[in-house]
Amino acid sequence: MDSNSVSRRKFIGVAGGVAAGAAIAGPASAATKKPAAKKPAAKKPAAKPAAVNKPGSGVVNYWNHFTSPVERSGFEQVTDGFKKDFPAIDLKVEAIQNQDWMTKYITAVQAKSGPDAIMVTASRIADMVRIGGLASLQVRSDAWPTLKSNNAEGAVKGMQYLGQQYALPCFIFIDWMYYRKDFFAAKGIKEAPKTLEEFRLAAIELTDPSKGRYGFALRGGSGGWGFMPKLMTAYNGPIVTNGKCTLELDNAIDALRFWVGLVTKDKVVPPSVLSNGYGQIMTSFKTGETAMLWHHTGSFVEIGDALKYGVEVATAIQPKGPKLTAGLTSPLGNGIFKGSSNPDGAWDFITYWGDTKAQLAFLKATGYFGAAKPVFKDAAVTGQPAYAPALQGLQENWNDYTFPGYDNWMTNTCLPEFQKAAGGKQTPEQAARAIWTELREVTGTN
Amino acid sequence: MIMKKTIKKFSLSSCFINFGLIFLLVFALFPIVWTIYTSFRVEMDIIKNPTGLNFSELNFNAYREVWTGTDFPVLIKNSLITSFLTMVMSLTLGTLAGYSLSRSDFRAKETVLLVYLLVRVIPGVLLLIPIFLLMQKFNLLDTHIGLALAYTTFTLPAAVWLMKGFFDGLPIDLENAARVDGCSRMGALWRVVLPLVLPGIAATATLVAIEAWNDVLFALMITSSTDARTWPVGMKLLIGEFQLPWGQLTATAVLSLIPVVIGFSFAGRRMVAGLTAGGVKE
Amino acid sequence: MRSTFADRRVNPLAKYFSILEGKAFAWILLIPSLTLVSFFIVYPLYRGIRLSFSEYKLLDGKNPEFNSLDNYFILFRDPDVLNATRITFTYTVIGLISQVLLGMAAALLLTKKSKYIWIARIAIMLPWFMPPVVTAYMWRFMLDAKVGIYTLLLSHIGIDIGGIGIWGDPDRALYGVLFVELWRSYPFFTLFILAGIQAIPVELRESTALDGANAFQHFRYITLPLLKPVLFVSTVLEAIKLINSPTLVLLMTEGGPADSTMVLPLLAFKKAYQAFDFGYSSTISVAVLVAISGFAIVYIRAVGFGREK
Repeated sequence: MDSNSVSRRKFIGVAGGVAAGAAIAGPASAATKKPAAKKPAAKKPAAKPAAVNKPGSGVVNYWNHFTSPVERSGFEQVTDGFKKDFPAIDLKVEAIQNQDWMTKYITAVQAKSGPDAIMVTASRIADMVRIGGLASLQVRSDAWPTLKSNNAEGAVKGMQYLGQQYALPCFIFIDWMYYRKDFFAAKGIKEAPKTLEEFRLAAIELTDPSKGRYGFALRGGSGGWGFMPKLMTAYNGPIVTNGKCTLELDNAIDALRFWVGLVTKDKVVPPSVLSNGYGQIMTSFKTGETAMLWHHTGSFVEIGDALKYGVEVATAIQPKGPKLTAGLTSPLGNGIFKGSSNPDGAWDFITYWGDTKAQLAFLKATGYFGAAKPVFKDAAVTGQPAYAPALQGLQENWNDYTFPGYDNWMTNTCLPEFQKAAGGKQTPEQAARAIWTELREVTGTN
Repeated sequence: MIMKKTIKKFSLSSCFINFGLIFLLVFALFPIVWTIYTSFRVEMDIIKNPTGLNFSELNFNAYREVWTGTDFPVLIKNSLITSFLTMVMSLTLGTLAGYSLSRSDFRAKETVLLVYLLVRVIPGVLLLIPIFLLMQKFNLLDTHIGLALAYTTFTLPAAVWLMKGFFDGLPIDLENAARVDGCSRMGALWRVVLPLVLPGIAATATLVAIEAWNDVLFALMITSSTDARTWPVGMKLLIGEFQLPWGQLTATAVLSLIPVVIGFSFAGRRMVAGLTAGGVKE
Repeated sequence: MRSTFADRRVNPLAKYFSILEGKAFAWILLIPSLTLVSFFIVYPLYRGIRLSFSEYKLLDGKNPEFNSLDNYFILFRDPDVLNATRITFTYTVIGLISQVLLGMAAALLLTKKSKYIWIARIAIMLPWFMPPVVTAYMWRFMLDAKVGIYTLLLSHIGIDIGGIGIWGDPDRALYGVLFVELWRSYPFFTLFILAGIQAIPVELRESTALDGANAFQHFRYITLPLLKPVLFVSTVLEAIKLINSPTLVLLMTEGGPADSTMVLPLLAFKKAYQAFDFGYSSTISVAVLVAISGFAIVYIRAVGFGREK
């Protein structure tokens, strides 16, 4: 639904595009080495896991929101491996489109009949917990030390709400920027912009409406809500801390002035900006209508199919605002549906995918970054120089928000208010005030 | 004299009619033709050159992918079963009720008509969860019959109202004459009235079938596996958030149009048959 | 043409059938369908009305709490609801008028006698048969500001829908959807008007033409009155559909840009499944339900649909 918690993306196997052969040796050794190395550390609570997490069997129903063929084939890698390791479990999968997700979920909660295991995005986790369909995994995860030892800390935290673990991460989204290296060179711009101001100036420089070229592929339509919290974070620092709103109105105004200004004053975006969703920004970037694009690592292969890395296109870390980077990194994971009749089987599945082996298989088929640390060190990642900014982003912007009403605030307040301002129906200040007011209301901040 | 006059007039208005028909056909068909064309194009060509005409690379790949790479054949089968069940139930119940409301006279008639309408007036948001709970209670989740019952309910108002309208247009003398000749009430309805409202039945059947065939909302909520999932749900799942497989999407559309067009050409013939029947009786 | 009702009054036998024997028989025919309908709507209706008078926000984790008319007071002062009502009204009125007119015109053209007219009949119905999902995505694509085939074709005849485009312009997006809705839904009227025309006896259809009455007069005084019942029913059904399930709005614009296509049912849907406020969402839905029912009753009374004697 939103751009940072995206779940389906086309990412045709790094294995195909990037160092396929070289990767084989790396992951295999990483997969076998890591768990082995972890074992001694995990020894202390070794008696406990047997008691808390019993081996499962029987049917496990699982809901995910994978709809693209690439994701499905990647997911098949995971399920195939799972079947081999857990032959006693029969995994049944139902794919649900993201836009129908909450509808199905709420109905399942109200009817007390849902799946056993369920996919969870970071931005929705608080909503899903409050609505009542997610079982706390705290006891189980305490008895499974791999979670903390093997995964990036941010990924583990991103799957928590109010200090309780509700899901185990299986992969992460890292925001970054794609830019046209050739356009930059033609204008004499030497490197990717590091700050939002540099970014704005570069966009102005690159824009030439007479040639039908614009500096930036701003996503002002469907999915564009995801950028609002990122920008406000860049101007303000974290906008929500411990569940309370820490966004200052002045900073929100600055963020909105910047974003709206790209449309109304600087005019560095295509005129149809307010209807531009993922498809449009991607097309405009690939066809050379736009010179810069913000998205996450998920479009790496899709862009590589159309443009040549290192020559026509390059990647860079998201520009910085006065406070922080205008990008977020957030995990996606799997939880257990409250009231599941087969929580042990569900746990087996979500821990299987929560571990390095499955994540590596998934990475190879789709290109998704895993949440487990050994994945970052895999040759599939380290062998591709264009991935360097993602690894850098991984260190700089481990931030996402989990509070009830987050998705709704982004979708139904941030985006329409921005659109009204960009469409000339109100000022950026009015938009910022509306967004700020609503955020305080949602988080119950006085 | 009279003949001459009409012929002349006919050719003039005929010209006008033909012009109008051509305009309408272009208006209606161009997007369909474009959809069909898209279904045969190479994906890369669609993206790189969206408005281009390129006939050299047309192929059946999208159809092959849809047919072999997805559950489409099963889903189409489910859709056919569900739509057929819906059509039979909705038309039977709707025709009976429509006839009753057209021919009889009782005080609650207006209320009854409104009760049917209420089904359509209730916004979908109010229905989703309760209908799911009802289906769950009666073990109808993920079954053809459960889905067909829901569709029957929601197409019934249209069927009842429309059939009442068509029955209203028929003179009652015909039935009375039949009854005098010794027909039972049902006999009169079956043998005399129904053949005369065939165009109406065909039109109503089309409406019911289309609604059941193309519905996504209930199919999405009530089904959870390929046991009963219908093809529009499968089609919706084709549409990724980040990518639109234009070839496959349009190919499924074309495939789904085929049964509808075949079905409608039968219904369409019924409509013409009704026309002559209507002429005979007066 | 002979009116059914007049006949009944004149013919004593008609009276016998419709009143004396009729009542019990009438109910026997109605009961199966009324049972099914009640089965599916009584509970949702009860639940919806009850929730509309309750505070029920899923994120609070509490059960529904009766709060009497609170939600309704909020509703009447909610600028979003006012905005959505205005948009819904525009959408329904323009949608209905444009579809009836085009649908009628198409039906009249399709009554032309020709060996091949059945092909045209099928062809003209096709937009209605198209799956709405594909209709929505194809049209958005074909009317795209940059890469739309219609944008390209129209530019040749001097109409410019490029630049901001239809979907990115808060002042035009609604009309874009209305146009697609027209394309998709006019065959509904065509089909029923065509069926209605065919129910008119052939002699009536042709006699006046031979008398030399001009086409318009024929249409105005012969065809139109006979089509009244069909037109009445189909406009009621289509109006309800436009108000209640604006599928295309949902698929094409999701209410945007800048809430310019936010119709009432979409607002109610978002309140329930995105803001998780089922109480207030039900209030909006119930208000819509009451409003439509009110209009329907007035319309039915005015036309006398259920009252013929």
